Amino acid sequence: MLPKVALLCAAACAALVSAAAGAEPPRTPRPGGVIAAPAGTPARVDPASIPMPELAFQPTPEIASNYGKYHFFHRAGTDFDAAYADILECDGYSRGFTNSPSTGDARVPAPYAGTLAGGIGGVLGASIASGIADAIWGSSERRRLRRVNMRTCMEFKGYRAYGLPERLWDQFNFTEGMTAVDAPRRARLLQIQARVASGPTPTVGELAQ
Amino acid sequence: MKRLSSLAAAGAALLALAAPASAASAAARGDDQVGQRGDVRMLPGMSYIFFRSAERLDVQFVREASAAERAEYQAARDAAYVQARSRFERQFARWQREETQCRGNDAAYCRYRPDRPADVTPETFAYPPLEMVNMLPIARNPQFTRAEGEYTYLMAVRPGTYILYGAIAATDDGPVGVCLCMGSVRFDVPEGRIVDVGEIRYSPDRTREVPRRNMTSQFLVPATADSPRPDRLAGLTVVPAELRAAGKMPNFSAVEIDRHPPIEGVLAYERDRVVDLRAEPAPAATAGN
Repeated sequence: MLPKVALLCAAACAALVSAAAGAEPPRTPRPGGVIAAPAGTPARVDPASIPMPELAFQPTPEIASNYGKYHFFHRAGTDFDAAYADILECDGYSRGFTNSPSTGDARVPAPYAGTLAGGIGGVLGASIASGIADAIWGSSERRRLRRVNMRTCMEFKGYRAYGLPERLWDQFNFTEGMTAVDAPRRARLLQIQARVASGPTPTVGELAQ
Repeated sequence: MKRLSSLAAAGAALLALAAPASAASAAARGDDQVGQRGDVRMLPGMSYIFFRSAERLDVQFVREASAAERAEYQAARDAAYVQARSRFERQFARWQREETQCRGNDAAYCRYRPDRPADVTPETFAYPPLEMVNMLPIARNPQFTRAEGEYTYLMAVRPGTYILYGAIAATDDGPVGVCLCMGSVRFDVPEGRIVDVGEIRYSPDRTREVPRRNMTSQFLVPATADSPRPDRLAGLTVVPAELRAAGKMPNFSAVEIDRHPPIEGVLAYERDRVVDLRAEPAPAATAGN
């Protein structure tokens, strides 16, 4: 019984964050079969008030080797409102991670055991190490989960990912490890990301899907 | 501290919602997973979900709530909000008193007095969503039948409509796995029937640093009337699941996200929009509309 309760509570906490981000319960199909997306309607933002960050750079092999970590999204023919709604929805799927990589027992789903989350479980071998392991690896694992979910979600929406040097990426992006980004900063950065996503098509750094 | 208390309140609310009202509801939440021994009995008011897999994995389904359940949930939520709001008003009044008393007072109890309590409004009130109460976890153990690379699972459930939510395991540190949050399949489970969902397959390479759109984490191979089934189900009414598209769901467990790949005649996508290919076509627009 206890593991189930733990799961429920952990999931509840995550869902609270998700709900706060505008996620909604599943909806029924509309006529014609298209099932509505769960994203809420964001407050109207004037794109002219959002600064366009610096994106120009000269690619190098070293910069390109970090595109997996440092990238942004763009979709041709997309206006700011649509891009912002899409980014808000994907942000809702990519926050509030409560699980640490220190799953010290054998309950990690086997197909995912090749990931950091699964691998560490085998190394440590016991959940007593969970707190220590979380302090060491939890932050990077949460940052990884955010990257993976943002990219999965945005690519399902038809956006392409483009790499950037870390110093440019830092201007309008954020990571979330052990602490959450506060709401005003999150909103401001997501709006800049939407401005970029709906701006001119990038010419360098496109990532393979 | 505020966040902890609100989370604790939400957890308590969830547990209250999840408190078993009867043996049937307990079974419907996953307490009646059939193992490798004993007969399968079709209890009144119950049904079964059956599936097979080459892997032993924890899987979660979500049962869609009925109108009556939604009404009950809303009533419980409203009552919980009234309590939470009342608690906030008491705490806020106390905080205001202490603020007044501590003006210019450097006593220890003033230095370490609590922060202003977080406001509780209908918009900020944290309460677990109904879908979480209806989550149906099926554990990797016990299997209904087992052979090397061939496992089957049988779970007694409450009749209703179920959605495949994803391969997600409960661990000491929280849920781990991948949800089909951006599109999945649903199916009806009528009373007195064993519904054969088919085979759940998993792709081990999906969870890389750079996921690929054409690589899915998990998918269903639908059952047919002729699908082989264990002898222990002989004489019982087993029907293949009739799959339909299921829309997006929140990432309740805060895990990796994915979606079920398209199924011909059942499920398709227009970018990220889920298309139910079994839904009635949209009515043609008429003049004046």
